[in-house]
Amino acid sequence: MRNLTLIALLAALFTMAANCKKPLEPTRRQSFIKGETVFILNEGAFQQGNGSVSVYNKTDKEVENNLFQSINGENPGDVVQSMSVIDGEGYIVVNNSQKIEVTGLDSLLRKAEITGFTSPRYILKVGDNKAYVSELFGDSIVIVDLSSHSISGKIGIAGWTEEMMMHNGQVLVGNNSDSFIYVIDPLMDSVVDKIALLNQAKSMAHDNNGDIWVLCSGSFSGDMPHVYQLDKNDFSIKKDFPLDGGYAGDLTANMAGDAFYFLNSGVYQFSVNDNQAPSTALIPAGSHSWYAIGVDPANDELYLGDAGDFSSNGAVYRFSSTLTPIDTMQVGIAPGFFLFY
Amino acid sequence: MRIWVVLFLLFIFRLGRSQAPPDTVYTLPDAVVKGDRFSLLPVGTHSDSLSLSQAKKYGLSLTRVLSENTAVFLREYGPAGLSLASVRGTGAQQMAILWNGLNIQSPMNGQKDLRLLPAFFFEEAEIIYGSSAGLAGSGAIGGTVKLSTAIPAMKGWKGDVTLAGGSFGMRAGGLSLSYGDKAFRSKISLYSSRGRNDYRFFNTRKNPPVEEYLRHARSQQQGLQFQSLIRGEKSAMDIHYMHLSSDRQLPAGIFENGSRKSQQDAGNYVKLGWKRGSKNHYWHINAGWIGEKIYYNDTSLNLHARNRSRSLVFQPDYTLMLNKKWMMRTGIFLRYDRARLDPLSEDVDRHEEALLLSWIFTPDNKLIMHFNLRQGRSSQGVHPFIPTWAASRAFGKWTLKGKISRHYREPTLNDLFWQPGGNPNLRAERGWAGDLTILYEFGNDKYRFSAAFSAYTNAMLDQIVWQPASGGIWQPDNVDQSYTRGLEGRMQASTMIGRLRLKSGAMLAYTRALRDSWTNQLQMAFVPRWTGNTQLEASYKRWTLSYKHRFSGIRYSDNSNSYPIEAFDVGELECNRAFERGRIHWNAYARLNNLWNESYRVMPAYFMPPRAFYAGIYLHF
Repeated sequence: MRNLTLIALLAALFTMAANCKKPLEPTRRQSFIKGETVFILNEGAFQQGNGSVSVYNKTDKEVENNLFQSINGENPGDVVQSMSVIDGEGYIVVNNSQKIEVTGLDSLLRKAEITGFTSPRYILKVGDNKAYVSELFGDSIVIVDLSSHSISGKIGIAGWTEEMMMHNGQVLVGNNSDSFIYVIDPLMDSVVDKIALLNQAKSMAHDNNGDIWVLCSGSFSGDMPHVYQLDKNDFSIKKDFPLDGGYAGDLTANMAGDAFYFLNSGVYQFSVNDNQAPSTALIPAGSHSWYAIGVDPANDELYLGDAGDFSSNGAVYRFSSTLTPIDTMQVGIAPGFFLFY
Repeated sequence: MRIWVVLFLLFIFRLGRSQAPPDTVYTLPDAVVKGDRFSLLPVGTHSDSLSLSQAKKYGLSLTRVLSENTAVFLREYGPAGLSLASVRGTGAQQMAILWNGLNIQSPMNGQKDLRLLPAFFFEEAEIIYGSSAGLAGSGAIGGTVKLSTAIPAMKGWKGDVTLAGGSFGMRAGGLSLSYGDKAFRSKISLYSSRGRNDYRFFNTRKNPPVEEYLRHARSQQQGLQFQSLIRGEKSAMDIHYMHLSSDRQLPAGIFENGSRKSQQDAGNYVKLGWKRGSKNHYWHINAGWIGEKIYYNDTSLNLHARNRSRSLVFQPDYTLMLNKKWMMRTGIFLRYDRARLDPLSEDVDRHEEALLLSWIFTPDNKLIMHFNLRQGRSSQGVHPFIPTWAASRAFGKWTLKGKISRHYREPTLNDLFWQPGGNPNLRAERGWAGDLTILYEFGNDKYRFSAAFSAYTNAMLDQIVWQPASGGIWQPDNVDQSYTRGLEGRMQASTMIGRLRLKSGAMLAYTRALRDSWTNQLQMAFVPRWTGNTQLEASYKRWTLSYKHRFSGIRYSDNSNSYPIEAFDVGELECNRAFERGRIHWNAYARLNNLWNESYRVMPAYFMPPRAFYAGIYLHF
C-alpha cells in the first residue's frame, strides 16, 4: 500500500494540453493603389500595445484589419496616433511608443523606425528631407531628417503641440496647452510669430479662399470651445464662433473647402459663409463614441470612426456627401485617424 | 512552444497519524457567535484560509502565496510593479482587502497593490470568494481578502528573523519580537527588502523575437508593525499599527522606448479594537485611521503627481443571543475619506454611513444560516439596499453551502473628483451574486482528504468605466454591465508513509466574464477562462521538498478578443531543511522560481522574470 501511495503521488496528473498560443499570421504583401486607399489608424487601448492599422480599398469595398501586424509580424505599438505620406513613404506616428514607423506604401513593410521622441502626435513635411513632429509632452517641435530617418533637432515650444499646417511657406502649430498658434519659419527652424486666440488650438484647416480655420477645443477648466477664421495674410480674426460646451476636435474641410465638419460629441457642419456656429448635430452621438472624422478628398464621402467602449474593436461608418449612410466596417480598437491615399 | 495545463492531482492515500488538518478552515459556529461581523464572511461560500507561517519560513511574498494557493489571479505589471488581485472575473476595485477588519483599499483609486504587503507581517490570509458587500461593504464583490496579524497565545519572549537573497539583486530581511503572558501580548516587526529586478528576457512580440534587457526597475520597501493585546476576564482590547513605504522605479513596458518613471508609496494604518462579552451578548468596537500617499514621477515629462488620503473608520457591532438557536447582530459603519488629488489645490472628501442587521440561526453544529440587511448612504446619495442570505449545512462528510447577496461599489475619489474628467454625478455600481459550494472532507487516523466544488454567478450593473469623451478628455461614467459565471474545483490531501510525509493540493477555475449580456460570447479583457495551480510537498525527517505549479489560459487585452496574451505556466521548486538547537528553531531554504524558464507575460507590456534563484534562512526562538 505504501508503494501504491508513493506511485500515485509521483504520478500526480500533469497533462500536456493543447497549446493555445496563436502563431503569427503568415506574412502577406499588398499593394496600395493611390486614390483607392484609406488608411485607418486604430489607437488601441492605452498601454496595451494593441494599436493597429486597417486599410480600406474603396474600389473593392473591403477592409483589411491589423495589416501592419500581418506584414511585419508585430504590432505598430501603443497608441497609433496619426499617419502622413511623405516622399512615397508612410510615416506612422505611435504616440506612447515614442516612435515613428516608416513603411513602404506598397505593403506597409517597415523600412525604418525613428525613435527618441517623448510623445509624438503628428508629422508634417516642411522642406527637402525635413519634417516637423509635434509633441504632447516634449515641450518642443522635433525636427526629423527624412533622409536618415533620425532626429536632427528641436524647436522649443512649451506645452502640448498638436496639429500643424503649411501656410505660405511657414508652419502653423496649434498648441493645446496655451492660447497661441505658433508660426515657425522652416528655413530657420525658429518661431517667428504667435497668433493669440482665446483658448487652445487643436485642429486647423484651409478654406477655399486660403483662410485658416482653427478649432479650439475648450479647456479642462471649463473654457468654451471656439472656431476661428483667420485671415490668410495677417492672421487677424475674421470670425469667431463660440460652441456649446463639450470638448471639440477634428476640424475637417470638405473637398471644395467651403464647408467644415467637426466633432463635439456629435458631428457638426458649418459653411464658410455662416456667421454663427451650428447648434444642432447633423449626426448625433447616440450610442456611438465618434472619435475621428475623415472627408474623402475624391468624392466628399464622410468617414466616422466609432470607438465604442475603447477596449473593443471599433467601427467606421461611411456617409455620402449628402450624409446618407452608405455602409459600416469593423476596424481595430479606437479608430482615431484617417489618411486618404 | 510549450504549454502545460495542470489538472487535478489524483491520490490514493494512506494515513498519517499526526498530519496537520487541511488548509481549508470551515466555519465554526462558536467563532461566529463570539466574533465580529467579519466572522460571518465564510458562511455560505468557499474560503481559503492560509497560514502564513510557511510563507515566512520560505521568504515568500504575499502575492506569491496567493497566486500559488488560491483562485486569486494576480495582474502583475512587471517584477516590482503593481500587483492587483482579480477574483472570479472582477477587477482589483471589486474586492475588499481587510487588514484586521479595516478595508485598506485606497479611497483614491479603489485598489491595493498587494506587492506592498509583506507576508512577514501577517499570521493568516483568508480569501472569501464571492460577494460579501452586506458585511464588508463597498467593493466586496468578487471576493474579500482578510489579513490577520493576531498574536498567537504565548508565554515569555519569542522572536523571528528572516534573511533572504537571490537573483536580480533581491535582498530581504525581517525581524519580529513578541512578548506574551496570560493577560498581555505584544509584538513588533520590522521588514525591509530591495532588488534591482533587472534581467534579460525574450520579447516574443517582436518579429523575430529579440532578447531585451529590463532596466530601471529598482525597488526598495520598508515596513514596521506594532500590535498589543490586553485581555481581561470579559473584555479585551487590541491596538495595531502598520507603516509601509516603498520606492520603485517603473520600467518601460515593451511597447515603450525607455522610462524615467518612478513611484513612492507610503501608508500608515492604525486599528483600535475593544470587545466585551458575557453569556448572552457581545460588543465589538473597532476604529481605524488610514493615511496613504502615492507619489508618481516621470522626469522625462517633468511630471510629479502628489496624491494623498486620510480615512477614519468606526464600526461597532452588538450581538445578542436571543435563545439557544437564534442570535441577532447589529452594527454601524461610519467612514470618512479625505484626499488631495494633484493638481487640485483643495482637499476633496466623502463620507459613508451604513446600518447592518443580521439574524443568525444555529440550531445545531450542522447548520448555520444568516440573513443580513445593510442600508447605507454616502455623499453621493443613498446606497442600494443590500440583503444577504447565506447558509452552510453539514451532511456527514459532505457540506453544502449557499449564498445569495446583493452588492455595490462606491465610486472612488478619483472617479468623482480627478481633474480633468472626474464625474461627481456617478452612481454606485450594483448587482447580485449567487454561490453554491459542495465540499467533501474525509479523514481518520489513516489519511485525510478534502475536495470542494463551487459554482457561482454574478451580475454587475452600472459599472464605472473611464473612457475618452469627445475630443480626448477621459471621463468615468456608469456605462458597463458585466455578467460572470464560473466553476471552481479544489482538492487537498496528505498522508504519511513512515517518516515520509506527503501533501498535495490543486485548484482549477473556469471563469466566463461577459460584457453587456449573458449571451455574449466574448470574454472580458484580462480575465482568463482557465486558471489553476497545484502543489506537491514531500517531507522526510527535517527535509522538505516542494514543487508548485500555476497556469493561466489565454487572456485578451481587449473586449473584442482580438489581441490575445499568451497562456503561461510557471513552476517553482523549493528545498527546505529544518534545524533545532535548544530553543532556537531555524530553517534554511533554496528556491528556483520559474523553473522551466518560461518567457511569459501576465499583463501585455511586461515580460516576467526568467528562471531565478533565491535562498535564505529563518530563525524562530
